[in-house]
Amino acid sequence: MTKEKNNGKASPLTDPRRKKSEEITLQAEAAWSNAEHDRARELFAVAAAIEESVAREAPISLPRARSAVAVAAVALWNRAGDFARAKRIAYAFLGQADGLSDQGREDLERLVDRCSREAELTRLTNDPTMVPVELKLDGGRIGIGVAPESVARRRREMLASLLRRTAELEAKVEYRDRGESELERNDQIQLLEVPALAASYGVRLYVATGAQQRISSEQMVTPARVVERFLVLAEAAAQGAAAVRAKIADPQYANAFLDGFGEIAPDGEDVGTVACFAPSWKVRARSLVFEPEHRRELRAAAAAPFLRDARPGERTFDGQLVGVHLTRASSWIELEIEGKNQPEIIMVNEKRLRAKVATMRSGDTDALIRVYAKRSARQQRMAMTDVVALTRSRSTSAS
Amino acid sequence: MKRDRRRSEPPRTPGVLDLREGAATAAHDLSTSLWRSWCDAAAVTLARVHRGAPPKRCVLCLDGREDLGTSLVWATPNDRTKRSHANTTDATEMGAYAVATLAVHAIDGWRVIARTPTESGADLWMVGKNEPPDAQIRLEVSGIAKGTGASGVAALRTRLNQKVAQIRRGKSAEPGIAAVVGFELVRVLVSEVTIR
Repeated sequence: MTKEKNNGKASPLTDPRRKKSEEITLQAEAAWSNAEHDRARELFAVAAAIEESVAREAPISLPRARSAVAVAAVALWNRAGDFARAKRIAYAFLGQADGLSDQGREDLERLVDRCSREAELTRLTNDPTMVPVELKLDGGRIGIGVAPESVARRRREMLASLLRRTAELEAKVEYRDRGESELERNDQIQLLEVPALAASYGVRLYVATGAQQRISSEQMVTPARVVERFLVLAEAAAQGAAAVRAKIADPQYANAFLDGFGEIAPDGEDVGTVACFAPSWKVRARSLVFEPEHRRELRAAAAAPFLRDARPGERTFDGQLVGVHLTRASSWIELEIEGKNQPEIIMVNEKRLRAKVATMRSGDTDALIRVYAKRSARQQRMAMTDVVALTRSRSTSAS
Repeated sequence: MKRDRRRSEPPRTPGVLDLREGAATAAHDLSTSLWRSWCDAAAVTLARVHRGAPPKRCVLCLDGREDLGTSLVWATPNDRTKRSHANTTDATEMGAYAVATLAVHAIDGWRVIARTPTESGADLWMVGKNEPPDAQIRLEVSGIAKGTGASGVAALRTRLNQKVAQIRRGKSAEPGIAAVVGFELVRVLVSEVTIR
């Protein structure tokens, strides 16, 4: 049957039936990529049945090869959406004293956990395309399944925030300074928290489409695209601020991601490392590990204001925001500029800029800002086109 | 993994890494359609990053050993093949499987015998010559389509380190081989990961 024979036993990995299973799995993956999810699941089930029969017949004297095929059978039943069968098979193998490698046992236990979680998730979403994203915290004060509450909470909140931002970036939604995500409010996307199996400490969120079913043409973003883009941005963050800015043209979005990944990265005391990955076959994205130096670099880059060059026709004004007149009847600010006797009056016509200016004036001190403005022929004044705080507060950028 | 056995042998002279139909059957024992799909993906990626026609000179680098020079041959993809592998991320990754399979076979005679689905993707399994049936090891593969010069090599090296870390991760890590394919560089970096 195969060339890998020893004492009359052949490796189940080279069982001729597996070639058929490989081909069917390939077809299933292609069908999934073409959004033919029902057909893909049918094909995964056919391949799973083949792997299951090969695994059941595999000799226990070949534990490593037997484990690989048993894991394949369970993983394929999981992909087919038959969680109960996947778990039954996994338990059948795990219940035997011999015939599995340590790695195989670990993989099967993880798959059982995953099947249980995903079966439960189907009560909340009927989205077969949902994709998990995980942060795995390790080192420092992190134990197996145990972490200081604030350490875990901050990273969970930041991960959720950055996933929403990624969905908005993917949907080409204008940068949101604050408030709720429109995509989430309109039921385009939802985040579900599914704590990961205890192995160091894991924060796991599933990205899914909204609770209402939509036809593909109506979908602004898909979970797979959101997660892939998120991980591409995470990889860029691990390379440095310049790489993030090269991937995101909008400086506000870029700063939000620098700030967010800086918050997720470990501090070296409470947390030693943070691995970021998508434990799913549905996305082809790499995992990466943040180290404490990433946190220092990203936070420093996020704290420094990112000042773009003035565009054609624009002028820049750096100064103290000494007057804000944003009412029904008035929409202008006063900027005290060094070397000028009178404050500069700048019109604020756009709603988004009014909102932005409102967030800059807080507390007793006048904020130092840079205003980008163009001459408005109608108003005979400079009209604001953009504004950036020169002294940034870190708390608002990744909301 | 039989490291000593391979060290005692004289270095092999690798043949051509041939991605064309009907070639390279000794390097794997996979289903024909899976292998063709990977080779097509590799050809599409190579055609995307190289203007000139094949073959291209290819360098195989195994940690701790001298670099090996060989050449890489592929069939020019037609429009249909290009359309089938239009997703560049997927094509780079699948194409890397094909090139890495040929590379590890050329370096040490490894043969990829199976691809098995897992929780998060798939494992590639390979065996050495005359190994017992339960001695298969994992092959972890990644690909980088674009990148040349020193920065391209540095990116390959970084990716290789990530792959090695991936094999080492987990409580019951087993030995394996990590391979990273640079398509524009036409270079394959390979690292053996022994058990802790």
